[in-house]
Amino acid sequence: MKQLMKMCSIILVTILLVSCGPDRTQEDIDKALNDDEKTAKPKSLTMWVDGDRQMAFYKKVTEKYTKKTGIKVILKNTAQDDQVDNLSLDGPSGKGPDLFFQPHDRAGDAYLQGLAAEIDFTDKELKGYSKEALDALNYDGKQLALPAIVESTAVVYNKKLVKTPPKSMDDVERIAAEVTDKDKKQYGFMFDAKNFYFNYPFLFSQGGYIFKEQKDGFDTTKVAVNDPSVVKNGERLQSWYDKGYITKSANQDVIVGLFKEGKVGMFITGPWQTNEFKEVLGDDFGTATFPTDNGKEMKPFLGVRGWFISEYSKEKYWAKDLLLYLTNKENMQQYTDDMQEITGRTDVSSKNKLLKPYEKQARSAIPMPNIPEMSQVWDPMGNAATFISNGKDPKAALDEAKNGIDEQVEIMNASKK
Amino acid sequence: MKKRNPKLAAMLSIIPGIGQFYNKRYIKGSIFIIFFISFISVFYQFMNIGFWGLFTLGTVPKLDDSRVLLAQGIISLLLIAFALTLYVVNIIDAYRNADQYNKGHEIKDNKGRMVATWDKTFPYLLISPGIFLLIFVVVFPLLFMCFLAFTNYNLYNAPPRHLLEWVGFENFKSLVTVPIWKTTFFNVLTWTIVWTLVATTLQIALALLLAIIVNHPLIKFKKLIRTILILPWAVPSFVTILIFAAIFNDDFGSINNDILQPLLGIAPAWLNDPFWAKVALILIQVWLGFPFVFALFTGVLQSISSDWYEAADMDGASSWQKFRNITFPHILFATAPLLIMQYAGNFNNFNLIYLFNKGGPPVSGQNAGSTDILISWVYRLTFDMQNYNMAATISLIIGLFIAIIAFIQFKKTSTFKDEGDI
Repeated sequence: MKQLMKMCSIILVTILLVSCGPDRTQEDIDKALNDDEKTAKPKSLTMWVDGDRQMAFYKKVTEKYTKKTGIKVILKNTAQDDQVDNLSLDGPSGKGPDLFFQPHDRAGDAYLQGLAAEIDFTDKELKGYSKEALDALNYDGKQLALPAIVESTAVVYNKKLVKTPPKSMDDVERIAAEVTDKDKKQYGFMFDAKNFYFNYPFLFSQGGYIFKEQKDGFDTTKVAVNDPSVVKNGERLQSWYDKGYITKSANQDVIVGLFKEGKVGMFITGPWQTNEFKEVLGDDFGTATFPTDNGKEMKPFLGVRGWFISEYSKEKYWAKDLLLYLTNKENMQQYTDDMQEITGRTDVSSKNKLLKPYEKQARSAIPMPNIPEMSQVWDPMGNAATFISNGKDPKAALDEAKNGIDEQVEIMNASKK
Repeated sequence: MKKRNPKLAAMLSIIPGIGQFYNKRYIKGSIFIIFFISFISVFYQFMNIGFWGLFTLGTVPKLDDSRVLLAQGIISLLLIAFALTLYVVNIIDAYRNADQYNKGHEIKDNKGRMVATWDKTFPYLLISPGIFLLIFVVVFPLLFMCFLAFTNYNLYNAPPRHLLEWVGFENFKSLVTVPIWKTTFFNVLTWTIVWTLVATTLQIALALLLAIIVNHPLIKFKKLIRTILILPWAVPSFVTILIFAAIFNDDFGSINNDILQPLLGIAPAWLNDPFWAKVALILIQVWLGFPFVFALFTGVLQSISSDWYEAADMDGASSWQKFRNITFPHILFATAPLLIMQYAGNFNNFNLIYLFNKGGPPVSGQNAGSTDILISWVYRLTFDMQNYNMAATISLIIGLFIAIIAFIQFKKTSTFKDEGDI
């Protein structure tokens, strides 16, 4: 029996050693990696589209494209959140799309996994796109996508309670003091102050930054969320709690409900509920850009969603052609008209008056950093905002947030090669 | 009658089937040869790539996908294991057959042989689909995870852009040498062990106490009391935990607002203070966990013969002595394996930790929350930080830990011994 075992192990080792791997030449490898610039027209291109509404819209647009070029465009309905994960397996096996659709904060992730292709654009091709939106889709100095939709927050107000939108932060505090009536549960000015997405413009209006911006991206070792100016704004935020302008238990859902009941003078939100508010409040509903704070513009976060080219696309030349077509002036104009959303082009404007302030605000908004380290910022900053609302010293709360971010980033960097 | 040489038959079977031919078993031999040839011709290319991939994890970035190669390699290993088993069976078969022929035990007619074979192999035939499924559904993912622990798969080195590499025990090393990993790992490990021991022991102790009290002859309404005590078990723990998270809320929860503040004048920060968060978790787990053990103990208590207590009474034993020498050993003997499972279950009680407050509150200087146990930390590493290699490493350690404890405990309890081995 022992001999038998010996024999078997010898056979096993031989099998392992004999296995010599795939038989391929350099030529095969080059061909598979597809680095050549082939421009012959393909029969079809594939796009992953998020949701039924978008499917309906892009069906119309791609039909026009097919008429123009003769290339068939296949649309596949794939949820935006699943696209990166799916692509990481489908791409290498050749089943992936040529174009996929992602928010800009997944850009770094998709690039690091080798899923998003770098695209070279001429200056002429990039004319007409909003610079902020392009920057948001630029990772490490590489343009990875073209913007389709941009989103930022702005001020919405109820004209019954607030006659004219505030011009400055002083106006805001004045309105808050005048309109707020605790007994009637009526508030002059509210926002989801514990959520970093909404409180960012209030905290960072006078300076400070999450990650220091450099020429090519961000320096993640330099975090200034506890900058003296931010701490000062944190103190102001705390005073709003003390004065009863904003309440601890009010999150975005609660505020939206109150606003629809006509109990909130103004609050901060994105464009996604514009139609809903219009229906409920009618002509009393108004939108405005952020007021100034100490003479400085307040800048909310900018979210950008755009079309990426898959690194595994075999038809990069035509994928780029389709990409430019999808986001050209004509189609984006149609997009904003059909979908009532703001596009990433400056030469397109919405006909909807209520969307105008959002459009204007999006031009000056700060793109959320698109590096993977950003994912480590939300929790600590959310905690800090909670601590501030609970009466903790804002400096201590923000110092703790900075330390938290630094540590998380250090861990992430430790695995960098 | 000419003797056959068993050793020669076995040697000939190095090419499967030839030994059987030597034994003049032509049908069986042909089947073996056909199996052998088809295995090689079907799987050769697959296994060739598989083993090559397992060694190199790919050589050309983007063209080779390390994850796919790794999976293919593992499947190849499993296939080889299957094949080798059959191969060995084939050799042994040739040897035995020749041996039996020499001794004159051989069944002569074909039909008789077939019946004998059928009788012998039928049970194996029945379990083989199950085992086959088990290997690909359980063993394959486990192996995949184990192998990941020895690679450098993280966000910055993720396929398909990069190739993975074997890093040996590098991950295990950095877990105990790199400062931030080290502090986090030891803090989390310590809390995990404390949590497992305290929460489980308390829940068992409470269950034991209640079971004995309720079982006392003087207690009336036994059924009603038992039903009430088992209620926490009847509500899905998922729901219970979320409700507990709400009522333990520092500011709005009813525990602070309606009970502790008015009665005792204290309001611990259940969610924001690490110590109180841990206390809250242990309390909740005791509440959630005791009904099962209670039901178990109640059942076992019924089976203790009253003769023993009568005999003890005759000898003048005290209640404590009766408990210590009759009740307690009896209960423990019958339930030990299930109690061990309770410990193991709490060691990996992801639901409670994650649903209560996601392992929070945060602690500075470590990348896990203060109430994170190993398994919830693994979840964080995988889904928040995409640090797959470290997550796999820690999972492996968890697995080893549980396996060792369970093995020792099972060996010591006699419940799991096979019949006749006592």
